[in-house]
Amino acid sequence: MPNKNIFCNVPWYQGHVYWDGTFGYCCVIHTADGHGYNVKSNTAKEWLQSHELKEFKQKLLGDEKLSPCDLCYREEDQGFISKRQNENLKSAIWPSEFDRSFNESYTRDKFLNIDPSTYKEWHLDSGNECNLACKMCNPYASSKIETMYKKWGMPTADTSKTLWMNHPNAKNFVKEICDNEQLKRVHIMGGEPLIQPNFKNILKQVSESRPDISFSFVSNSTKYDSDIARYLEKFASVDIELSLETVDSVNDYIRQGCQIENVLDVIDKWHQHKSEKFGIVIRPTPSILSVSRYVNLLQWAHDNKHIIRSVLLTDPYYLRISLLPEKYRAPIIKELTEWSNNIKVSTNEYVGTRDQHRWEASLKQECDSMITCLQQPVIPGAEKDLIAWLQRWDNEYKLNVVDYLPEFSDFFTEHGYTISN
Amino acid sequence: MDTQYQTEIQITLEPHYQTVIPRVFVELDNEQRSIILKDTETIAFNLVLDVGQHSLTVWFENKENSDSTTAVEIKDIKIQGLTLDRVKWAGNYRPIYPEPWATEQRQQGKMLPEVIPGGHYLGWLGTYTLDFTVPTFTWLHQIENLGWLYTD
Repeated sequence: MPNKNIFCNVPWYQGHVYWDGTFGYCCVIHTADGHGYNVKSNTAKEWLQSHELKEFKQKLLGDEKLSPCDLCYREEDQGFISKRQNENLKSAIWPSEFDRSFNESYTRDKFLNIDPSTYKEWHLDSGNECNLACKMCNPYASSKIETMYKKWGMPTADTSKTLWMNHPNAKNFVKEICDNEQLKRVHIMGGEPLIQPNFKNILKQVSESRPDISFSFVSNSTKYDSDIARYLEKFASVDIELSLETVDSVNDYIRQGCQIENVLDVIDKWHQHKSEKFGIVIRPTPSILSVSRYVNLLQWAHDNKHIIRSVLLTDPYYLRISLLPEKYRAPIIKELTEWSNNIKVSTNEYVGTRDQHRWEASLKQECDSMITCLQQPVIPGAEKDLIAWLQRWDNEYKLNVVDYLPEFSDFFTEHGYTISN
Repeated sequence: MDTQYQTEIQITLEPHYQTVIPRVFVELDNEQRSIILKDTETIAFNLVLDVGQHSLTVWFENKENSDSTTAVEIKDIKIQGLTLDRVKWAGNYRPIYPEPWATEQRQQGKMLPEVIPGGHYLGWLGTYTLDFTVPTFTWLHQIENLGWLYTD
């Protein structure tokens, strides 16, 4: 029997392509291990039958934690439902009754035999073209950050020059995955897909050849495109994952380059399309910079009947919530507890990501997860790195964290935050 | 994939009464239990079930026409260790309405439903039936509406 804390079905069912075309094990793992398989030179079938993928699957059947999967482990440790747990549910493997449900899963033997048959989902990274420079992001997912890294003399690859989507073989690769009758979903990540010119081409190609599948993508909530909305309407189902950290100006502080009024307006435009087959999910990455405003985000989502599915921030380490001292946590926990107590919906259920009818239960679940997260031990030690990082960006964008988060001003000044502007 | 699975099901029943203690008969496939429900009670089944369709049925057997208080409530149903509200709501209640009251109601044009989907408060005589399939974890996934499933 695989280990309930390790096993993950993702490499059996979900194909991943990173920004440079490298085949990956999971979208949560951002780098390959030098295996060399790439959509520019290999087919998906070759990757599926590769020794490297088989070896990775074998490790997931074992008892040792895998360092690339650290994000999921951290989410689980802090009370959130991880991608691993959510994906295992697609095989009817329940986190709380792992052994029995794994044994009863229709696909148990496929896992145990390291079956190399085809994927049913593809997660494609559209590259780093982005109009924002979010403080928690990196050059591989934001061209703005790539530019700044170069300006600051920090190491970075020329991500924008090696995008698989711009390669001549991109169309053939998309055709190969669409030709697979078992395909159920294509998911596009970024960067910001809506400003990547080839996103529209791929969307058009997939919508024409496979309208029977589900199509989803992430967006930073700064762009609405009616042409894209029209293509999306062709699919059997659609999910848009919209990034939002807070519903006030702290969102602008974190997601540098955006304006909250515009962001909420864009979310509202996408929300107009919401239907049984067109889902909207709000995807914050809760961090030390946003956690004090989380209750307002929940209330806004409640007012608008949105589903929130957080991806708890783990990287960079100095932006983690775990850095926040106890005295700042107590009022946040109090607010969240009061909010949760006011939501009179049964949580005696497991809320899936995509059930738009259960927005209220999903919000309560999110709130309770955040309370659990804030009740975990404080892990100090990264304060200096946090301050250095904030100062670096705030000098560049002429911002002052104390203006945005006065509730933490003592914390920031105590650790040496100063800004000249 | 196996053809049979060890399956644990627990159903918790709560009685409501003033004088007449409710009597129930609970059946999972061919395994039966007869219970005088003086207090809230959990009835546990642990059976090897074939892959496919099965039924859990509760008969409320002893309500008199003159008794307006005695009832049986299905508080929860735990399957393979999981207690999910939607499980009890997935069942159907088929009441046996008392006569001549039922005929009078119909004569007055009031519809008395033959089946009450999701009904788990047994205020009249009748049966509550939960149809489910084995493997149960897959069935639970479906009734919780958790999206698509990989079955191959």
